[in-house]
Amino acid sequence: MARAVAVIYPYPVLAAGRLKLEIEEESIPESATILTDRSLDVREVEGPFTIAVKVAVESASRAAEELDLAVDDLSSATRVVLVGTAYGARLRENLSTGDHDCQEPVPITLDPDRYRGLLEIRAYLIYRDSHNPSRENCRCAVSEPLSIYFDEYDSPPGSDIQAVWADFRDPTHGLTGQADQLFSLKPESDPPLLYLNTAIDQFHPIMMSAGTHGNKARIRDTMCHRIGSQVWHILLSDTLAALNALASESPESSGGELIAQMSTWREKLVRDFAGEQSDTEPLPNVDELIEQLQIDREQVLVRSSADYIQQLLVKSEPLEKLVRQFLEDS
Amino acid sequence: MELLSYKDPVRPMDLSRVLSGDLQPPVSPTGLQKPLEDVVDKAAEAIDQGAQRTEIDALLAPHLHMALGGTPRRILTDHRFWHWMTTSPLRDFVNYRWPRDGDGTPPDNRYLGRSTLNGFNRNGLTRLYWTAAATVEFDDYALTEKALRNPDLQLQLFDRRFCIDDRLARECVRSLHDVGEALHRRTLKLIRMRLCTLVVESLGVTQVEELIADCLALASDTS
Repeated sequence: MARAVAVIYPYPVLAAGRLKLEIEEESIPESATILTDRSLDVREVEGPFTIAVKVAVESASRAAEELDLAVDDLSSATRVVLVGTAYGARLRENLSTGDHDCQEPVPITLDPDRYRGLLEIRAYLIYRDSHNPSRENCRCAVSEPLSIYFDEYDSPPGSDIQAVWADFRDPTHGLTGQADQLFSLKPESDPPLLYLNTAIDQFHPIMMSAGTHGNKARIRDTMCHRIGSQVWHILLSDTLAALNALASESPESSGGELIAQMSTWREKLVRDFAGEQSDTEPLPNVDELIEQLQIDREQVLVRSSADYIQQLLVKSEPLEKLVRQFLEDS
Repeated sequence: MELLSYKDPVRPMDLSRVLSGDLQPPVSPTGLQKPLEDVVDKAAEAIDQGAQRTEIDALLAPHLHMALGGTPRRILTDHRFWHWMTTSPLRDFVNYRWPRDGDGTPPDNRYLGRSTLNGFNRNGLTRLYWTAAATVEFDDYALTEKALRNPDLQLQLFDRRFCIDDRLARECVRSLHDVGEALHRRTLKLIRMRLCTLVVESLGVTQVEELIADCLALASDTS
């Protein structure tokens, strides 16, 4: 029998995306790298640092109406809580330092010694007790996360790629030429970034849905698989082409020397694709891969890559599981 | 003893050779000296006395947590550090607590685990350390012992995302350690449902207590 999981809010809430959370650019430490307008790489930042974030409700008057409030009551009936979640550091904490509404930037101090991997910061708009005691501390809106990377983005083959939601029609993203496409990949960034298009009707709510069964979950999982397959093909082809180009430029260099010139994620991808067991030079499998690329590039790019990606996706989404979920539960 | 960390995680395929000493992974110093000898001694003492499994967990967790006091969280969440701990200074404890299976294969998840919440709760030492870290109250480990003497409650709590809110974990152990498996499971399910709409980080300690008491009462009524 089909099952579905959903949260039905027994009180008014705002639709996804209505609560905006942004980093104040001037507060970003000089040694941090801005990956996107929603993500920062702070690996090079030494010691504790402070960033400021700004929270805003899109169209406050409409939001007040949707929450059954007078527009003047929005601030007094709700407040903002900033929650930092870093599963790698086993932390989930309130980063707010006081009682905030949506007026002033909020300073957040972060100590790299406390974090590992990714810290996601989300803003929640919650009801105050003065408005309706039964809704006290209940969320009525949540923002998209801001991502702060304290470590190298370690994306082993088969795992997720960082995804960023953006409206491709908005010229600031430089994606207007792909406004009718579901996704766009920026493999030149390190780590590679997958842009997903909020301008496509229903795409965002379906992909962000939390259910495990039902039609929406089926569409979501199918889309994930389709996008994942295309993305891995692009990344692998691009990486192998880059490796081949490096090998052609420096025919005397060893495989280890060549992949050392690549970004970390590309190096890992080459190692995994080649099935390299050795951590240090010589890297016989990488050397053999380079030789194959020089001899029969098409064979490697078409057949071996397709085999590898199929195995990769089968590992992450075994056929038996898909059959169980899509056919037997129907 | 100086705390060390392996330079790379130990791979499951290499675990047997690391445990037998045939393979010695390269290590990095953390620059921290901690009294791990005390923990090793306590473990040896408990093993000599043939301590039961949950008993030795409850006994060792406070000592492990105290010995690692002041260690940066960044190191304590690095599984390369814990791989060194389980396969080097505290290998005998993990060997005893998680015996090899019939064909002599060591249970790799107990020595290695993965760097996920679930994986941390599988590793033989991280599950003790993080249970103690979440439940200690002003150097009092009474709740830690209660949690570790109740394996189902420990699993239900520390395999879940809300275990990383220490206040919630503490209050759950305090309120649920002696209510029985069926009731603590029902209560935790109700808490998870409430957290779908409630921002727990915005709650004070009293509100957390009230939340758990409400859910426990509701779970009791429906039992």
